[in-house]
Formats: sequence, structure tokens, C-alpha cells
Amino acid sequence: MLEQFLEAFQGIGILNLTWGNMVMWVIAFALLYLAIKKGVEPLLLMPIGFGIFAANFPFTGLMDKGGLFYIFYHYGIENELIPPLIFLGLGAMTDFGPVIANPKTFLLGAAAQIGVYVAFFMALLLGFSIPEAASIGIIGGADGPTTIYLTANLAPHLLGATAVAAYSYMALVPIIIPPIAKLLTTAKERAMVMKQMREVGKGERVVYPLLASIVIILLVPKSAPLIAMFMLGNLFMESGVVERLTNVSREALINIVTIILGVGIGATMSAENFLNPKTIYIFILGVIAFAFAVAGGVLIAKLMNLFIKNKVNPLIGAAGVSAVPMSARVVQIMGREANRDNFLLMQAMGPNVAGVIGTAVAAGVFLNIIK
Amino acid sequence: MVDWLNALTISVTGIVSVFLVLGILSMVVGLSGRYFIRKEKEQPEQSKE
Repeated sequence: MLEQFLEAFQGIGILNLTWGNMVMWVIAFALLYLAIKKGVEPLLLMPIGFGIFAANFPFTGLMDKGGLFYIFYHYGIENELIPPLIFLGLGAMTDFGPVIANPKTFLLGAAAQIGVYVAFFMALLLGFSIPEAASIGIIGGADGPTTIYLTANLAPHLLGATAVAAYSYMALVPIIIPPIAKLLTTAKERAMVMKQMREVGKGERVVYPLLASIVIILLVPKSAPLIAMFMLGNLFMESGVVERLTNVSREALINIVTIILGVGIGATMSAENFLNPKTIYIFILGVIAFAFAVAGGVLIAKLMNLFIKNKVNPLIGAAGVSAVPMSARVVQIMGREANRDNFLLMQAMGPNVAGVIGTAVAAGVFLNIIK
Repeated sequence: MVDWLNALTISVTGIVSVFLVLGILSMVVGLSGRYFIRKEKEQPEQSKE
């Protein structure tokens, strides 16, 4: 009886709480504070923060095989189910009109991926392996679901750090974009008013997801899970005949999977996984990736202006960093600061949505070569 | 030890592929746009006739 009592006593959580668990709680509270008090990406940071908190109690078995969070992680993230479902919801919310009206802005979405490859090389220099470096580099695409998708495939042990870095920096877009975009443009360039875009008809909008799927998936087949679901969601919305499916994709479904995704990621962040120098490097490399992505977009926009008739305001290149629609909004504000008659929001939405596609393609190419 | 040649191949392939895919998509969307604009212009003319 005494033995049983001692055994039960030893199984009490408080006696087995480690310093590592408590440090992870501090990190969890910091994320919850950012989400609740500062409104920083609350939809993701709140479930991630609580996932970290709950997973760092001793003896819960939440992340043991068969445990609740393990099921979330294994079936939702490791099996690559949730990121494509999030892309379905995103597709059902995305207006591709600006990029259809001005298709050359697709190139600005491609240019912003330069940051991915700069961070990839820097990660290698810091001693990360190639799959790890690819997972870190993709943070520069500023696309949370794609970062999670690629990391779950190539370096699942880094999932917590890359996901938190991606979502944190997406929230910091208003701080990261302006200094870099200002450094690389003149006041005259920022004040440039762009030609108004044409209206895009319904037929064109319905055909677009099919055309885009054919081009992208034929060229980079490994991008299919993300691109196919993205375009299906968009087809739901643009066809106008499946309102129930559109609504469920962009509301109920995306909300449900976001909870499972956030908690599943947070649960991977145990003290032994997260508290190491690699995590700090990942956060530093994430900012570098973002900075080069912004610079790449702006510089390619300036280069494009040397060859095209209808010039683009180079600021819209900065919106090639996906973070939809926040980076486009930042560009709009910067354009208005330079010239009160400048309305760049819709123009910037072109590279913005092209950036989402660009990041998914970059992830597909990484998977194609590395996995 | 990092295989730098492999890393260089991965990044060059990656950046070329991203520009190639989005470049082709840009051309395809541009061409389909021209088709739809032309069709739109033709429709009012036909209705006048």
C-alpha cells in the first residue's frame, strides 16, 4: 500500500516540473500576451501559445503516441492534411482580379522569393543541414501554411520555431517593409501614380484557377497539394454556384483546422526541442529572409520599369512578400505618404497574391529536389 | 559537412523555376485576358447588328 502511495505521489506533476518546462511556459505566456493584448496574429499565436503551455506539463501524455495533441500533430500536420485545407480556405477568400488585370506583377511575386534563397544559404553557413536550411529559408516567403507544410516534410523537429518565426514576422510586416523599401526607392519613385487597372469579368475569373493549376502543377508537380486546394477554393468562390462550399471553406473549415494546426504546432515545442541556439538562429534568419524578400521585390520592379511601357511604382514589389493583405496595405500607406493622390492598394494586391503562389512553387521545388 | 555544389544546384534550380513558372503563368494569363477583352468588345457590336 505504501508502495502504491509512493508511486502515485511520484506521478504528481508538480514534483516533475523542470526548469525547461517553466521557460517554455514563459514563452507560451509571451505569445498569449502578444495575441491577446497586442493583437499579433491572434488566430494562430493563441492556439500555438496554449499548445506550448499545455504540452509542457509533465506526465500528461498529450504528445505520447495516441495522446490528443499527438493525434492533432500526426494526422493534421505530419500527414500534410491541414496546410492544404488552409489553402482551400485562402483560395475561397482571395481575389485574383488585380493579378489577372496586370499579369506582369506575377514576376514581382517571384522576385520576392529571392529572400528564401538568401536565407537558405545563410542557414547552411550557420551549420544547418540542407533540409533544415530549406525550411528556414521558406520563412522569407511570409506564408505560414507553406512554411509549416515544407518544414513538416523536411525538418519536423524545427516546426515550432519556423512556424512561430513565420507568423511573428508576418505580423511585423509594417515594421520590416518601410525602411527597406524607402532605402531602395527615391521619393519620386514612391510618388508614382500607376495606370488604373481594367475590370476583370466573371468568365476570366472562373477560367483563371484552372489555367493557373495547369501551368503550375505541370511545371512543379510537388506543389500540387497546396496549389490544387488554393485554386479549388478560388473556383468555389468565383463560380458563384457553390455558396455553401465557399462559405464553409473560408469560415468554419479554416477556423477548425487553424485550431488543430496551432495546438499541434505548439505541442511540438517541448523544452528539449526548442531551447537551443538553433532556435535563435532561426529567428535571426527569418528576419534576414524577410528583408531580402522585400528588397528583391522592389529591385525587380525597378528593373522591370526599364523595359515596360506602363511603369509600375517600385513600392508594389515589396508586396510580393505574401502576408496577404498586410503587405499591400503597408505599400498603400507608403504610397499615400509620398503622394496624397496615390492609391496603390489594388495594384499591390497583384504581387501580394502572386507571392503566395511563388512561395508554394518554391516549396514544391525544394520538395522535388530534397525529399 | 555541407555539399555546397548540391546547395548551389538547389538554389539555382529553385529561383529559375519560380521565375519560369510565374513568367509562363503571366504570359498565359495575359493571353487569356486579351481573348476575353476581344470577346467583350465583339459582343456589343453583335448586339447592335
